Amino acid sequence: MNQTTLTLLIDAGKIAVILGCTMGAVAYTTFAERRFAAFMQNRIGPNRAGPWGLLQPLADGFKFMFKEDFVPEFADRFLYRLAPIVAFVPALLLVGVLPFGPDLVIGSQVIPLQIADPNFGVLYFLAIASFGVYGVIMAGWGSNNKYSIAGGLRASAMMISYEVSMGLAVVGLIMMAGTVHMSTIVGQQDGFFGWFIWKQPLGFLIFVVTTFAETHRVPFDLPEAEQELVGGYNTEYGSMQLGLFQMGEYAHLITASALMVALYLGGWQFPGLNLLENSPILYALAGLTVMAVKVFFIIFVFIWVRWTIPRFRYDQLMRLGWKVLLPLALLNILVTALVILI
Amino acid sequence: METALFFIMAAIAITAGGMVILNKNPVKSAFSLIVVMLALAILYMQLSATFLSMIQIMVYAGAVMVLFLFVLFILNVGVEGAFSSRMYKRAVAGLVGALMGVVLIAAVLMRGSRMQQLPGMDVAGDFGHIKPVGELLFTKYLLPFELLSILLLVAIIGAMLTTRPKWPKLKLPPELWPGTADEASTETGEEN
Repeated sequence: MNQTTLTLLIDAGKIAVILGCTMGAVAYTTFAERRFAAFMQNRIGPNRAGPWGLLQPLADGFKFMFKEDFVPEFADRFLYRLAPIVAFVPALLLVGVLPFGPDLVIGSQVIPLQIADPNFGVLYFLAIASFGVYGVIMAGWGSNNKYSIAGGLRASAMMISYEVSMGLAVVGLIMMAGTVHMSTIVGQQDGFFGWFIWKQPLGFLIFVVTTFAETHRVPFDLPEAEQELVGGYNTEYGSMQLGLFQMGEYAHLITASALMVALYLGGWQFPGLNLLENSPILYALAGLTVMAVKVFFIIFVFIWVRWTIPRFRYDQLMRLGWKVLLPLALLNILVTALVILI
Repeated sequence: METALFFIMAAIAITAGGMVILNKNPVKSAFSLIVVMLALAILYMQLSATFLSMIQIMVYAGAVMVLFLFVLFILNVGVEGAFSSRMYKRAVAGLVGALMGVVLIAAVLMRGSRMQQLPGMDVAGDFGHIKPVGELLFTKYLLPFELLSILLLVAIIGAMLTTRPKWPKLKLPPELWPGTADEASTETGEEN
């Protein structure tokens, strides 16, 4: 087997493993959400399927699969069918540029634990992440239902307002790092105080808030505010199509958390990890574990916030986006530029 | 492989572009336009303009089109509202379109021989990456870049001016008209 074939095989294997892990993580994030929610509300939560309820995601999946696949009479059939796919695919595409660990060295073969490391890594993430909203808009329009369309409208307005701040918050980090290569950005965050969260605290804060908005999580879940809009954009959806929407949201949540870890919280780096550097396989495994633990912690914070803070009102949302976050993001860029200049 | 990708993307872009203008429903036209922009982004990527490609997706496909759809939703433009049935308007639009098409095709035909030299051109290794593009923007093309931003600012202010409701007409009694403000204030002062 020559080198090209080997590289191709390794790449295909990496894609399969990472996609599989992401899907598994999606399933168990839904489970974690339900269990943590129950814990915070002094309930027990799903604990019947399998030991500690661990088979619950499987049961949910089967239930989605065996429900009737239904298209409402007045819906636009094409857009209605397309919307869940458009909501789900970009969320999965995002894992393509995330660095999960240090290079894995087996013999003479160096395997970077990242599917691709293009010279526009962070930009790719911002660009593709902005695409998930089209699924919501398409669902809103295609369902031909006033609640759905209100949800779609809110999603588009929120997207425009918060994406600007998110991009500008990351600009400060890019200026500090001097690159948009994901692996280089992670590599620069050596040692606990090398993490970019200490150099870009304001940028991190803005990034966290806008990520909540981008993933439509409470307190920014206005597109599907069930108390006002029935179910928002997915009112008319059922069976696996609804399942795809939810999987898309959780996949986006996971990839956004991983991006947050990679950009601001040191990625797979952790103080003391360098001690393992002379046994590459152990080093890579430890890096992967650190990354997974950090991502899980961020997801836990997302769940924690969801069951703690009530939803914003629409006008509060707009005011926060345009009058607070945007000026703060610009200020962050200015201050960062001044610090670099001095 | 690359040539095949070019033709696939070009075909997608042209088909979706046709759907933009042929669709009776403006929302579906907007969705088709998103497909056009995605195909264009991949074509830019092939030209090793990676930064431009990402910005194309982020700004045009990501933000501008969301705004388009938002406005379409709010205005609720129906199938009838978006298309004028006046014959003369259609005739004028068709004429302008045909003229522009002729100019484009003529340009391609006349420059065709020169274009064929392009694939042989050498580009720097980091051509189209963020750094060289940024350096060019802030050195060689600084003035046009800043002028463009002023143009955008003017457009924003213009849009706000044209959509703003007129200032409410003053319906004040004559003694409160501007110019007699001093007397008015003294009067209210006495009342208090």
